[in-house]
Amino acid sequence: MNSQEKTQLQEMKSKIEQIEKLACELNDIGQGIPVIEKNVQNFLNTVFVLKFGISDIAEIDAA
Amino acid sequence: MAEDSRKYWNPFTETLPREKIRAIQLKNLRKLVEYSQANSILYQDRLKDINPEDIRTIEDVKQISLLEKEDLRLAQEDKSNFLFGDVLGVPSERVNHFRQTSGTTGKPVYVPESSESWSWRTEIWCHILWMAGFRDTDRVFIPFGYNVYVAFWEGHYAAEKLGCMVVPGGALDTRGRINKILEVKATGLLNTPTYGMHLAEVARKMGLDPRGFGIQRMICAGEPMPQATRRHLESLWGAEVYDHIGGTEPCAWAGMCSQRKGLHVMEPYFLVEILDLETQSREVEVGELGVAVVTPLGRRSFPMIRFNTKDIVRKGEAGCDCGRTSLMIEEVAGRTDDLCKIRGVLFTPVSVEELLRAEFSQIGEYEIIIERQGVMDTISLKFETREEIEEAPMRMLVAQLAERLKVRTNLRFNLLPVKYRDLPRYTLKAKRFKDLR
Repeated sequence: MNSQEKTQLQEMKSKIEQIEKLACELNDIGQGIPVIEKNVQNFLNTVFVLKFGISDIAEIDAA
Repeated sequence: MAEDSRKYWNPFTETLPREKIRAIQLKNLRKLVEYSQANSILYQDRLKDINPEDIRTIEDVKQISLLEKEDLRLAQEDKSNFLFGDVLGVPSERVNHFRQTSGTTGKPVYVPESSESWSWRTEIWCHILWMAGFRDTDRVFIPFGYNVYVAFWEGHYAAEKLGCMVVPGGALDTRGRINKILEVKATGLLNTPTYGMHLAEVARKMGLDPRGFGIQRMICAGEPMPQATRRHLESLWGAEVYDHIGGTEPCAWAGMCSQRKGLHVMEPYFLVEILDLETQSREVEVGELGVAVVTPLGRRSFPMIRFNTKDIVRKGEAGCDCGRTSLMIEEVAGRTDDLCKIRGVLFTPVSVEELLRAEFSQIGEYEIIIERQGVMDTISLKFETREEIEEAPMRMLVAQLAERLKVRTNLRFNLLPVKYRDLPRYTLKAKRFKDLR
């Protein structure tokens, strides 16, 4: 992996964290509203998958 | 990366150096152990003597005992936690996908999936489809009613996620499915190897040549597919045919790339051990046969650590000309369930399938039956030919077949030619092996 790819990986990891944080904030604001809760769960499912495919690699690479 | 990035579904995981794959597997194994201890009744007991911090290397996973299908059945029997019992790893209200095993070897196991775990499973299948060349321009026909069985559901969801147009082919008969393939100009198929052959056979009876259908690729599920069967399907359809291996409990865990020379283990998402057949305690060497023991590292609704798949596989080297760095499976040689001794000789039904598909293209359906007559075990092969054969050529075929089977298996078979369509046809898992002893 070259330095450009490493930077790309770290940036993607950071964005995934931001999406997770925003999704959780949206869930808090929309607590009890099904349209928010269920759609936020979909965001979080995607975040879970991306953490395995991207964030894990970025973490190991940075270690 | 940009130039090459579309070659892989995930260029970061698929080309990762081995030591980094191992590091990620180790990290996620510890997390899974910790999670399972906290959330699964089954694992609270099984892992009571394990401290996640004591798992310092991947080899330390061997401190944990193998998980057998029977353990899962027992964990679901007479449990107050309807319907999944002690295997459940999330609150039951989070389960929104119900699947179950086929019940081929006993009482079916119910498989709970939360939307998170289902997303993870689907992602694995995205790798498998992408590796096999499926893209958003494909029209994928799935000629089954999927019922409660997982493989085609996974394939359906993953193909949709890739952007393929997915055409479900349930509630049609075989002729109806062939017409639908032609109507939508399908470019891809997902089916069992047996049904791939049956579809081609019926198409020919309709006066159609499947090689002209425009199918570019087929991915098979549900049954072991020796290379000879895969190549036979390729010649029937004029398409690339891809295999994968997996199961309802552990998910699909290895898939085939464009080289079509073996299967890539889906690392780092899975930890796969290939253990010796006798003691199931020693990791086999490259080139040796062993039983696959699988740990899906991202599944929370149904945590599974060291599941004994009972699939017999030949371990390959890590790495491939396609650029992927994962461990390879050279061959799927059958199942320990089907491995048996006949008159002192070790026998696996896949060896017969391999021989018939490689050397006897005139033979279609077949059935292997083992019986005990007095103190002797006998093995019979019933078979149909695709076209009617006259007496003299049939005698020659039987003689050739007997000789080749003897060489291949070291067993003398009773050969019983039967009329065309006397043997059952299968759409899902074929049951061509009957041990009646």
